[in-house]
Amino acid sequence: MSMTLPEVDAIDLSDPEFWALPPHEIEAAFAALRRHDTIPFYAEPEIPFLPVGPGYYVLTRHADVDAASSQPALFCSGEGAVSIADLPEELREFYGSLISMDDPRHAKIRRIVSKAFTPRRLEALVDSVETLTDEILARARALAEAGDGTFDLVKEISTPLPLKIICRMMGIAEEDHALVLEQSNLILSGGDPEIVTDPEQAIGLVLEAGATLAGIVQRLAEERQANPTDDLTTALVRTDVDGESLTAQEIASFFILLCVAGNETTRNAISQGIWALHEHPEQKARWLADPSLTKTAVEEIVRWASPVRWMRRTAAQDVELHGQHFAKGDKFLLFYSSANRDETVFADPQVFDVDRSPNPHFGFGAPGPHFCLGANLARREVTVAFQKLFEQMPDLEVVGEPDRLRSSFVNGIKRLPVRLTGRT
Amino acid sequence: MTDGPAGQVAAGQVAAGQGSAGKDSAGQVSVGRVTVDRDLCVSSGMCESVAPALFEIDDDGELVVLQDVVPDALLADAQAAARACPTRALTVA
Repeated sequence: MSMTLPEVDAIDLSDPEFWALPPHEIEAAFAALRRHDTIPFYAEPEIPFLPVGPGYYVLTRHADVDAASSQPALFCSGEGAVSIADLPEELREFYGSLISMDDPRHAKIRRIVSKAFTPRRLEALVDSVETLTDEILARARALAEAGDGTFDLVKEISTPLPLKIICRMMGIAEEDHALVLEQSNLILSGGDPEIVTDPEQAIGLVLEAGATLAGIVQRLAEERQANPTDDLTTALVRTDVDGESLTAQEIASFFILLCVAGNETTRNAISQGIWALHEHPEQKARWLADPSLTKTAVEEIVRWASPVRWMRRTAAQDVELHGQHFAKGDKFLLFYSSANRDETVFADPQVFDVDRSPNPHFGFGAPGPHFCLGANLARREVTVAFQKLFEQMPDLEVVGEPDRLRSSFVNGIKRLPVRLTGRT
Repeated sequence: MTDGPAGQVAAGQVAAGQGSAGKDSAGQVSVGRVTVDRDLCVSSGMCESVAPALFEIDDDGELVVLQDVVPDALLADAQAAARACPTRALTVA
């Protein structure tokens, strides 16, 4: 697939309007940056009430992202991984969970929480993922049939599935699920004007959302201290590593991380996957005809969607990368979405191929200690979602364009209109 | 548990794809031996999802290598697990 590449100098990744461009224009810009030998540097976007930082470098090539990610001693996460700006202390409190932490502390906490995400623990969850998906699809079908057959795929299917699974794993009461969803949406809005109407209020809203989520989980943690169950919150409050257990603050931060990382990512993988299959009906037909393609198809959906576009790293000392010198303190955004379309690694990267193999994508992050904790859970959720959709909604068709989130960080779809035709 | 110096990770990276399955020129059955760099392992469980007969994350979140001498029939799985390891903590040699 050929595309017209823009001039590198005309690309400004800090311009919010860049992220409102149609996907093929965003892809073309990154294709141009990958071909450009010099690692590009951008001024930081202005965020009300935060000092504007010194700027950031952007890694777009698979090899460069890999090199930074797999050398955590040189490219650290502790200065912040999910924000270009250095966050003020009060925000770090809520958003300073293990994603923005370095070893040895990171390794210690990761080991505690990874107990909840082992393949065997997830096997035990499979039945509940399947039952939940059945319930969600049945509700969506009832809604469609009660009306004109249309509904919003994001609202009725992609959103509730991962949200309810994470909430159930944690032991969050059913009546709090909607609140968790609303607050996690706010945190990840990336300033999308529909969600944050007044940019002056963005920081305050994000702070409040963090405090609300922290409040929910802190109350729950106290309950579980007194009355343990078999949920993840109980595991977190009771576990100790080398005689040390997680503080209430750490549990709250970790919960916020899970809400955000465990909801939006899988949600967008499902929505982007449905859209990709709509745009590539021949790939959908291939997959439907051969269910043994499910494993590669799910990986391809994750590559194609790249639900989290980047994570930040900061040079912990003077370093060299791609033949360029960088100073201690320099910031880097590792663009997984761009690495996932690197022409030197993937054959025909702009082609959606449900049988792609090998597929060394960075959709769950690049190699290194911060590799997605929920990768196995996400794979399972996406697999079950598509299997059940094919089985129970063979008559589902997309009837409109996706409404995209304007965010550099999350490759989000806010709405995707679909219809059940009643025909199969 | 601190991270090693630069370059240490890159060394592990090469090892992953190197083991060779099958018989060598003398007709000997080759065996692979699995080693885990405990400083790199973060118990992601990717190895277990690829090769459950060889790897298991136990209830304490520690990786247990079930058979560190890999039977011939599982050599390809062991190598796939090493490639799947996000921290390049596994070596099959």
